[in-house]
Amino acid sequence: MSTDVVPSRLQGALRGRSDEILKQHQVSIWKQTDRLFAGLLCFQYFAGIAIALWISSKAWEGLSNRTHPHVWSAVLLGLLIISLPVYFAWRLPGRELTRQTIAMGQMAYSALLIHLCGGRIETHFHVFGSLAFLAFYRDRKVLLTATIVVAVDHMLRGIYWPQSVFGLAASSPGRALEHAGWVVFEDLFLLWSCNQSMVEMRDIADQRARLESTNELIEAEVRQRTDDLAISQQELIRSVNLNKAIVETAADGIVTINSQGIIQSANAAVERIFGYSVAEMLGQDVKVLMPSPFTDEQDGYLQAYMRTGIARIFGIGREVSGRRRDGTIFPVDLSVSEIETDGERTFTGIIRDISVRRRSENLLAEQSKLGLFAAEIGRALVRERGLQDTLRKCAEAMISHLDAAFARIWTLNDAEQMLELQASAGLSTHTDEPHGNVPVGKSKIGMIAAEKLPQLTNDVFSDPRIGDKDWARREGMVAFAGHPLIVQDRVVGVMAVFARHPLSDFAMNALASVADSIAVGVERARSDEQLKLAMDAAEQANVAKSQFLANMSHELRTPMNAIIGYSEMLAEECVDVGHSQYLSDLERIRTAGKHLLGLINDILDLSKIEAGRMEVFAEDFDVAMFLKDVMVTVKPLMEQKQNRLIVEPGRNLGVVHSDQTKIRQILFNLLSNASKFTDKGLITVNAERLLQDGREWLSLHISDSGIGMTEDQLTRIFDAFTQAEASTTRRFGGTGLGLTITRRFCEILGGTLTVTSTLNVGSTFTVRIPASHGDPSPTIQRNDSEIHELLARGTVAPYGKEILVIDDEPDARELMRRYLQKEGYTVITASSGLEGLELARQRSPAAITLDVMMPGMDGWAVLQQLKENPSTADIPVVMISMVDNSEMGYALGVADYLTKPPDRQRLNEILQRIHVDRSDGQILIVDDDENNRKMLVSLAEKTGCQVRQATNGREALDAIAERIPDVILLDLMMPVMDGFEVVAELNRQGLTSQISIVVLTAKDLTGEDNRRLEGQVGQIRNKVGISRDELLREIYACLDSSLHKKKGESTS
Amino acid sequence: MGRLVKLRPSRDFALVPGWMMAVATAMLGLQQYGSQPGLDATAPLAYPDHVSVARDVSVPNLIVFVHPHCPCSNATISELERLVARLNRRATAKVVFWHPSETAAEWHKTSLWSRALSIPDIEVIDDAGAVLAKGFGVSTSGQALLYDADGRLQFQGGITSARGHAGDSIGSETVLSLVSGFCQTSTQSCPVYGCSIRTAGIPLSAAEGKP
Repeated sequence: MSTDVVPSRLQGALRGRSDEILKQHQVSIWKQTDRLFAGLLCFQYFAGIAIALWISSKAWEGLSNRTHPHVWSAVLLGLLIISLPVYFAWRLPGRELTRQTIAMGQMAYSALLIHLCGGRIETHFHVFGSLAFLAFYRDRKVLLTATIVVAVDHMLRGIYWPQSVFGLAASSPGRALEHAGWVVFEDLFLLWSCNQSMVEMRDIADQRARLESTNELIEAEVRQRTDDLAISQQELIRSVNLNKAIVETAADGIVTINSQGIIQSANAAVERIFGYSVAEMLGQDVKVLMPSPFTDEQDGYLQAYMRTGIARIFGIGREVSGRRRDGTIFPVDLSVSEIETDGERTFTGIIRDISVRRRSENLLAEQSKLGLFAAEIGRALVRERGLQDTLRKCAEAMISHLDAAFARIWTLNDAEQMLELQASAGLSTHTDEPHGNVPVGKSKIGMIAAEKLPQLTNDVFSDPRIGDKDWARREGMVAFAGHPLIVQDRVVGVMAVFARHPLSDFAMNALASVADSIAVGVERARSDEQLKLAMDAAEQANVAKSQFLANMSHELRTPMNAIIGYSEMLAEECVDVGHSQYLSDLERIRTAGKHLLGLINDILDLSKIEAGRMEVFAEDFDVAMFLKDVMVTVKPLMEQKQNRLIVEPGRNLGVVHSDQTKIRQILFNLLSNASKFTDKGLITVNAERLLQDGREWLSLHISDSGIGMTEDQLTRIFDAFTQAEASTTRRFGGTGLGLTITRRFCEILGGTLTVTSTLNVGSTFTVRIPASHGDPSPTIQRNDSEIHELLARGTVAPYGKEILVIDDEPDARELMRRYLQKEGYTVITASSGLEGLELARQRSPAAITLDVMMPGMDGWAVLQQLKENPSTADIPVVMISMVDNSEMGYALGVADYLTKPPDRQRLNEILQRIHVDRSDGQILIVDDDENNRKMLVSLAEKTGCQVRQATNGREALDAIAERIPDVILLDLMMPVMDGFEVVAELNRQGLTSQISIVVLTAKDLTGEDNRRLEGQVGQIRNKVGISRDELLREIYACLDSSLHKKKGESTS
Repeated sequence: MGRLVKLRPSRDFALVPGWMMAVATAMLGLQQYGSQPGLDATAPLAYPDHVSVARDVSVPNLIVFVHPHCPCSNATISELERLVARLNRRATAKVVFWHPSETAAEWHKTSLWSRALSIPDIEVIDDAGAVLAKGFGVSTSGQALLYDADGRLQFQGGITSARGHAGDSIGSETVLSLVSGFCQTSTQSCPVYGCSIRTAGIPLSAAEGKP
């Protein structure tokens, strides 16, 4: 039976203990009952034999007899039945197996006994008795087993020998139920009894568990109390020892006296404080430790207290005086307490010698005053502006903190060795009096400076150094203190005070404590003045440097421009006159000039960047157009090394607001760099517009398939004057400044430049620049088709008159494009008739060159549709064909007719005839540099216009007054009158709207320069680096624009 | 034993089934012994005239033969006492104690004899020389014979259900039924459980039976 049958009402550990006790109790009962049944079975065994012998000892057969089988059954079967139960009870008491075996044995023995007794009904009670005995186990399973044995016995007998059980030949359900009923009845009773017994055992176990727990708590409490008591005793002993040690080692003296004032005890500190030994003090009146009048007071206190019981001094620390053995009087703190033991009053006095503390307090007060004085001096040195104000504040602080009547401070003029009065406070605040300046070594002040030593006297009348004794007497001065102001062993001044009372050492200490600070203040004020002078000089030098840079920029670039320009011009003339043997030398001159110019530009740019003078001129510009423009510029560069350039414009590049010139230079530098290190390879420009970190960015990726770089080279690639390695410079040339400047430009524009590279594979430079520099401005988004259209057409608008070339042959288109561009036209191309019609309708070009033989729609059909459309009917068309069919062309309305290959001179004449006669044009070249002027003149004359010259602004205005030109090529930096003034004057005269002004300058324009020119001039081009072709196109564009304007006005 | 003591509990547990089998087998053997009947009688169908015991002609006559030392017949005497009480003098009852001539004169006067004498309405008869047993062809102690008033044999057999086993039995019930007139069929018989009352060398009038 498990202990869970009757659960404990306890919880936790108590429940566990209760279960344990219950289990022990059960096991004990089981063992006892096992032993009981072992005895009972043995008894039954012998009783069974006796019964067998008594009832049926012999079996008879006639007259013979033998031992009755019942006797043998009682002996042998009985032994068999009890053997195992008894064995288990002996060897395995308390086990489940044992009591179950006993239950079976007991019930088997009941069956045997019934049999031996002849089935008497009385013997059936043995069954009930056995069950009752088995209930001693308090185990329902035992009762169950016993009942099963009885049931099996009855069942088998009922089936096979019913008469042996029921006395009937056949089994009777009624009798079976009767037998079963009796057994069940008893079982129920016994089970209830078992359960009740278990409940009681559980209660006992619970109570025992509680009792044990309570006992443990009590025992623990007793142990704790015992331990506490032991600890308390130890603490008490320790406390007594500690108190004794404290008293003996206390820094304060402890004295006990009786009610008569007789010293009862004294500790070692009393010996130390008063100089008496303890033995000497014991039995003495306590007054021996007091000076008068405290001795009398002591008697009074004691008598009053003994009489009235009113304590005046108990528990109150008070300061009194003590007297040492040597008679010296000193201050002490005394506190008294009273102890009454067995009716005897004892007074304990704790005495502390406070003489040291008193001295420290005095010193501390002095230090505090010094600190306040130094703090005020410090504030004056930090806050006041100007040497005199600072020193005046210091002098005022001396008056207030040193209780002086008069304070002054002089500074030393090193050059003249003169002490100059800077500040005065107290009696007089004037500094410009006759005695204000004191030579070093003269009078008391001069001597202090000369000797570098402080001076103090409290008797000014007898001190020989004090010269103006009458003044001192008159003013009541009696004391003087002076102190030199020294920095790094160098006297920078002197400070001094007069007082109407003697000055203590404190005054001199105070002066000494602030002297260094004031001296440093004087030195700092002087340094500030020198620093200000140096800064002014530096500022002037910086201005001079800026001016120098500007001048150098102009002066260096101007001759370089002449060198490059003239070399180009000479080359053209050599070609014209057939002196080709000079071309290579001229090319070397031009290349060297270009290189030198590039170097100068780079150095100047870097100089400006380093000086923080590089300005940003933000403007809106179309990225797609910008890209195309740059691509056109770099195309010759690409062709030099037979590289292929691919531009991949991303989506929605639109318009950005940034410094177009710098981005152009960034892109040009990177493409130039890529081309330099790539030979017969591929260079790709990828542009995209990104939205990152809540901001729009223009991102340009320039990739090449060149030589690439190592990791080490990558780390140095952006350092100034550094290329990948020294050999690179030798092999590829260059200044090593390009990438440095490029990265600085990116940073100036608020962006970044990064690079990735793989050796022998290629490099990719990535430019990331904000789409809107500074304050964001509205941006224009172009769709992809517009961008590609712009890129496909070739040159776009602003360079001059547009000519539409319609030809299906790419070579023919390209040839025509080059030629027309050289002549100053802007060219758009179409590879088919339909595309040509669409472009003509959209762009309304100035003229169209139209090939006749084209697939799909031939030139005649295109011509017919052009003439039928009112928007294109007036556009002059020049037909170009392999066969001469001019009559048909003229019949259909063509302006002229050329056969392939077209004669360029003839084509130019036709186009000029179609449009403007430039021979009436007037170009005015204004430049003070003769070389430049001549070069420009030779270039301008190519237009066929009339070209005039002016060497400065004044001459230019005169020339304009004589006749208004159509185009002015204007230099800015000129003597007499510069270009800015010319523009301003023309603007004032209202001529800027009539004249196309092209500013050609070598000057680095500032923001202010740009603002002065903005809206007044057509183009601003840097004359350094611009090619003659480019400049010629510019001139053509301006000229045509101006002439058209004039033509329109005259027509109207 | 010492070796057995060292057996582990699991081995101890293994002893139990063997023990149970042995006990069950022995009990079965004992039961078999107790249920083994003795030799049936070869009683005459009509009450013999030559016997010394007179027949009561007014009521049925019940004659029970007993071996005076048979322990099993204790149960027969007990059952006879109950049966006589239930017959309530509707029949005469006689107990014949087998007393062969080879035995002493007091050989038959056992505790069983005394018990029989103490039962009212029963005539106890000393069958000296075993004449009556021979005359009625009885060879097993506990054999009961019932003759009706006309001397016709109506029942022969034991009135206990097993050897030495007291309690209700078919024999007792049959006698009671016959006497009460509830049963009019021919002669009834039942097994008889008891010691042999056959002397060695004396020929039997019936088949051999086991003791």
